[in-house]
Amino acid sequence: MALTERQYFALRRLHSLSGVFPIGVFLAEHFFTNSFALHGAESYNAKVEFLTSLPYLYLIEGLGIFLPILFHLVVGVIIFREARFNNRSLNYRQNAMFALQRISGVVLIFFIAYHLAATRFGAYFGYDTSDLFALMSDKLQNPFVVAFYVIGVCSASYHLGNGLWGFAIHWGLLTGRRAQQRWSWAALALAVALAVTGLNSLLAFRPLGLEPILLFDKSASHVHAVAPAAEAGLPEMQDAHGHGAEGGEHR
Amino acid sequence: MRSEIVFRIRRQDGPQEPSYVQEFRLNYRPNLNIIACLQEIARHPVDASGKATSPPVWDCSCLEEVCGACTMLVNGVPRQSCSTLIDSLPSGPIELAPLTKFPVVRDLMVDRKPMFEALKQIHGWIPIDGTHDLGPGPRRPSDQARISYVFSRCMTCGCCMEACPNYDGKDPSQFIGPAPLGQTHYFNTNPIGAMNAGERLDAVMGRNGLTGCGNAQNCVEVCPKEIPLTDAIAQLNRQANRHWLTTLFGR
Ligand code: HEM
Ligand code: SF4
Ligand code: SF4
Ligand code: FES
Repeated sequence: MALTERQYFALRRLHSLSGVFPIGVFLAEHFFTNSFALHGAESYNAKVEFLTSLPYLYLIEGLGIFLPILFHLVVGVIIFREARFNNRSLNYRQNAMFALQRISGVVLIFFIAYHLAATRFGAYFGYDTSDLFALMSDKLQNPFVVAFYVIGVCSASYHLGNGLWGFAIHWGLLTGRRAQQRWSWAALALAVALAVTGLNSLLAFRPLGLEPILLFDKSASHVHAVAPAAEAGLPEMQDAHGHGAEGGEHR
Repeated sequence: MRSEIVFRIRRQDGPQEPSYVQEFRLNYRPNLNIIACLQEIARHPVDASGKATSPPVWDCSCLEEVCGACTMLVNGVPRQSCSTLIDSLPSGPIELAPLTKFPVVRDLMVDRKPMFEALKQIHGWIPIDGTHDLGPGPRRPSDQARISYVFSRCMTCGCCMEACPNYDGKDPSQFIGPAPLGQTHYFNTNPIGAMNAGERLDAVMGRNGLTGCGNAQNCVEVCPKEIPLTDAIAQLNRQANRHWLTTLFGR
């Protein structure tokens, strides 16, 4: 490639930046929006409808999400290929995190491709995307799909969390070893928080008949005016789990 | 407690020859270092099966961990064979191998010339010779001098280069590696060296420069001189980014 030295520097810094802004910001927003599924199908689908009704939608999606992800992904693969992993002989924590950052990135390539094909571009693959909640909970009755989503959510959470650590060093925000180590733990805590949020919103779709955790919610009474699994077209599961379930206060 | 010392040495008869592993056995004595064992093997070059062979070749000079010449892989970890005591190693067979990221000259001896080339690239010296006396140099605060002293201890041993997953060694257009980056910081923080700081910063802002570091932080883990390489890299990142951003649209 005919990039000058300085352009290559810019390319790598833009890769770093794109991971946080816009991709990281989008990921956090995405997990939060998905959490509306905790309040049932209607609430979730309303959010989806709101987002798809945004003005300049294609511009926001294209320039704000798809293009940055594609850019980050392509440069990410180039960076991945530069690494010669040596975790077996040099078994240090940061070395493991380094390898995981790259592996989670590659996992995300497959996950994001599948996830987009099954939701945003589902219509092209013969899915009915008018009721995303139903589509999601329908898919999540397959244990393999559930496993893939769990891996995807965890990969994305770790990749962003630890990515914020690398970001702080690549941009020279933290220069001392002690500061870097402290931030590393904070970044991992952030990754766990992201993963819990993401996984809980998966549970909101009642995968395999499981239930989400309703924590810190204002009130539970208005939440499920209609039994959620019934909305999702899964009446038997509702019967099995609706009665006598723990945390009955949110029914 | 071991009664004998078993070595598995990765050997290679010449730069282009294939490598092979040979086993040697020695009677145990306390307080041996690896070089002493190699000397004993060289005096009686007979392998573990009783077959006479050529004496293994290695490099060494100072025998007190200041020259770096004797660096090799001991059980997969890059370190100095002169300061590695047998009694500090686990009791199984001891595996010796040449560094993998430098061209092998013969057996355990490698050519660390790429590090010298890298020091030339980063302008790793302070030009003070001229046609007339420039007078005494500036004084510096002792705390700065203390930090600087740590960086001055680098003996270009190559441990950090070997451990870095992003340092390839074979291709100089790829990442320049941690040691030269540490030295860039060293010369740039010297009050006289700072007069050429821009030059050195430019030299590490190219394709094989700073951007090649992926924060695995193996380099600091293995550096026998405890040089804070990752602090240096983050400091350089900070300066390089500022330089890049402030000249983004020209000067
Ligand atoms: C959910 C989508 C993604 C998010 C939120 C994300 C976020 C980030 C962040 C914040 C960083 C840290 C930047 C830095 O080290 O300075 C990063 C680094 C990285 N990402 Fe991603 N990323 C995503 C997807 C991907 C994908 C699909 C790949 C493909 C392989 C990838 C490969 C990498 C690599 C290799 C690095 C390390 C860069 C380095 O150390 O220089 N990422 N990512
Ligand atoms: S921190 Fe950078 S230079 Fe040091 S081992 Fe890791 S990638 Fe290499
Ligand atoms: S920085 Fe440390 S490990 Fe690297 S060459 Fe110098 S002394 Fe060796
Ligand atoms: S011989 Fe000089 S460091 Fe070992």
